[in-house]
Amino acid sequence: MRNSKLSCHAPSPLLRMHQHRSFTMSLGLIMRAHSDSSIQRKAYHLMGDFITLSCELNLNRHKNNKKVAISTMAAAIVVIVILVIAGVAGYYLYSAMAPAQTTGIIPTTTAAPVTVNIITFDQGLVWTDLWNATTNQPLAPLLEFERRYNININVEFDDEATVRQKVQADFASGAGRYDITLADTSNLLQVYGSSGQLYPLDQFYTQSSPNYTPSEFFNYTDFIPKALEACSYEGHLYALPYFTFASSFNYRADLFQKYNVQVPTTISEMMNVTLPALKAGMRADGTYGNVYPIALRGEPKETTALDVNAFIYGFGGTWFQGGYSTVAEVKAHHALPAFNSTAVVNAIKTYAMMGREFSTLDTPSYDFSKEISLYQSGKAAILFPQSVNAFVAQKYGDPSITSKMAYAPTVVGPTGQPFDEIWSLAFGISKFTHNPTAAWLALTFLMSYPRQLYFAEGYFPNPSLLSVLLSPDLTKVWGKDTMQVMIDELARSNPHFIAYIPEANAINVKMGEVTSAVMAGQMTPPQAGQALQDYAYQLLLSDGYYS
Amino acid sequence: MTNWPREEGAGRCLIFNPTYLFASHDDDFSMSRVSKSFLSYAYLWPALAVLIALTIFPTIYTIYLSLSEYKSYVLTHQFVGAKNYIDLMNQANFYNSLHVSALYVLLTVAVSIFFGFVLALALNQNLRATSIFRAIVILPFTIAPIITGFTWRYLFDSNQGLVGAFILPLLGLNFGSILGNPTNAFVGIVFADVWSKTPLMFLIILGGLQGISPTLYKAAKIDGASVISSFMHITLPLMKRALIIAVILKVIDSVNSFDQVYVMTRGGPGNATQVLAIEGYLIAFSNYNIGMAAALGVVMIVISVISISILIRYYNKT
Repeated sequence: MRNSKLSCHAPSPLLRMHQHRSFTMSLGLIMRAHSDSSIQRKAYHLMGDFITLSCELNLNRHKNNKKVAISTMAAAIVVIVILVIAGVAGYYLYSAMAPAQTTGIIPTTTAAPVTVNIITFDQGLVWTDLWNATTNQPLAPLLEFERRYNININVEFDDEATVRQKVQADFASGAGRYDITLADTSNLLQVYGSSGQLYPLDQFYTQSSPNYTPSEFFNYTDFIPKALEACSYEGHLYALPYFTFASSFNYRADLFQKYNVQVPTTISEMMNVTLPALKAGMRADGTYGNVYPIALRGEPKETTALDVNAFIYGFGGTWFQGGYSTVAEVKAHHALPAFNSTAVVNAIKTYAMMGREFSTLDTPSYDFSKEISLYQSGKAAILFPQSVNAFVAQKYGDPSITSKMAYAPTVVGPTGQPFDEIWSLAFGISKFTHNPTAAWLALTFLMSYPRQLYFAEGYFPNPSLLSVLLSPDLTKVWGKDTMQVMIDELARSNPHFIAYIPEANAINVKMGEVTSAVMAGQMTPPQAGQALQDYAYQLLLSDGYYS
Repeated sequence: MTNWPREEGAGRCLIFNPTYLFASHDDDFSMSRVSKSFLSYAYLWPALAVLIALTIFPTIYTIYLSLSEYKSYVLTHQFVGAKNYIDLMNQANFYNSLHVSALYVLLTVAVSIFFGFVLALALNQNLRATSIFRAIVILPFTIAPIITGFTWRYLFDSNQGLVGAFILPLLGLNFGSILGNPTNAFVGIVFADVWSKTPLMFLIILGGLQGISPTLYKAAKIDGASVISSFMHITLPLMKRALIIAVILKVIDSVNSFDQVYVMTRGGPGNATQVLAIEGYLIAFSNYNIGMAAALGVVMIVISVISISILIRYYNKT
């Protein structure tokens, strides 16, 4: 039978009836007439018709399914497009209807404000008087600045490693996404200051400079001189410091009293008297293993190297033969690295011994957070050498423990030099900024007296301004003795305790790695010194320091 | 046979059929054939564009970077040929990282597949609680590697960690420090990776096991085969392809392993757990030497391609 209307449409009931009829007829005939070949042939033909018909039906069903699928997809796309349009429209409608800031601040100009972008880590710690620590909403002091200067400051917070990578990517691409970037004094300052990717700031505050931009927030003489020196490279200031810390001897006064131990003044006394006495006392009363004499960090990173460098400085060691510390000096004198010297090897050996003999066995994997946690939880009698880590422990710890924390000057080495480091959380202006003048004004505002006082009173007494460091308000909060230690240590620190070369961070990473290896028993101190020496030499040779 | 009208073109593949294109057809159809083939290839361009943008271009650019001097503190990026590769080969840390990575890949692949197989065999039953146990087994895989790394970093702490400070001492196992000891730290990162990735192996292997017809086991049982004999002569041969797929995926994963290991140990103590990916990260973001990091990336690509090619060749043979 033929039905010319059979094609791509949905199978009609007539078609289905045909299908069923063909099938049943064919089966019946086959079953009844086995020997009659003509009937068999007819039955088989009908079976063939049935199969063909079924295929047609399936094909139509597939086509119909395909059509349904296409229709459904089209409908879904239309719905998504409508939702997106509605969402975007709703966002702009909401923004237009959003209530204005309730501070009552009225813009002084109708011109479009300039935007300055800054990136940093330590959200909830830095500039919490300008941005809400949790919601990141701008607060009144910032809004007032933005109104007066018609400059909007946008901050981007992230973790430290990510911030460094973003800064690196921004400089590599030249995008100028960040006008003000992180330029800390043991890492990025050397890298980007040396390659001219940061603006020298003297052009903004020197009156004779064509780019001179007076700022009511900036007072050059108020900055701690050592902090400014740390932020300078080859005689030019490239960054302004927010907070600056040096070393100190941070200890638990109650445990020192309990074990009848004196605060040491030299490294020899610390290693031969103080630490062994603490350990012996803890062993005697069965607390050793739950409490340790000292908390250190030993992870294979540049952060550990910051502390090791303090030891190198204390032992009278230097990065280069002749004590040179800048690119120009090293190249001019063909000064080779000096990491296999006795002083450096002794420094690594002493630091590793402290971690291995007098601290938890996990020390080779400890970062600053674990070091702080050990001290803060009452499991260590000393935290050494960074003062800022001890302040963190004190601020966020159990008062029954933290009330017994005390601060003393750091120890000195055999040459009389202190085991001191200095580090600033500093910020510079990117060479790719779209508006250097606005960036300068914003930078000076961010480093001004009220900002630093707020930070120093609320978090750590490590400001970068003399007027804040010496203020009675700060002394009232932290105590006269503590503040005197901070002042003295900053005064006798040496910003060039590490070399100011762009390869500094790479060498520091290696230094952290070999120190961690010595602490874990993977290599001996002389092997560590030699490995560091070989690495530094190859790196500097590759970078053209030596012909 | 009754002639039913057929939909024109039904049964012909219009998307891509070279034989159709090159077969002799009426000339009247030649132009429409060309336009149809162009249209067919045109549908491939979106996927090709994504492939070029996300895979081919980055690979070529990485090779270009590896042949350039690209340091963050040097403004010019000149062509230096194989210098980055030579400098890389001159670093002792490169060979250490190669050794650590090789051992890491070997152990994580072997152990995770072994445990995945055991779990799959155990849970390839249609018992009442099987689905619940399967869900529990898969759970570690759902946790992001970085969270896994942080978790095990604190669990292994010998002063405050649940495992390092309480469970192991309770069991009388005194390893000292886990993450502070070079050997223990390596075992620790292998353990954390196996814990995290065994569920994936379990899923792949379970899928393979469920593809084996039960009638084979019944027939073997009737013929008097033991459990071990059935396993050796039925399960293993039929599981070869699934196992190779599992090995390929795990090798790729282990060679590129970074976040979990970095968070746990930073490659330490010393450089005991410094796998190639961490070495590359340090070169790029601590040493600011993008060119040398790209060279290491190219080396890793070569290593991965060679090892996976060998495995795929073996897969095609089975």
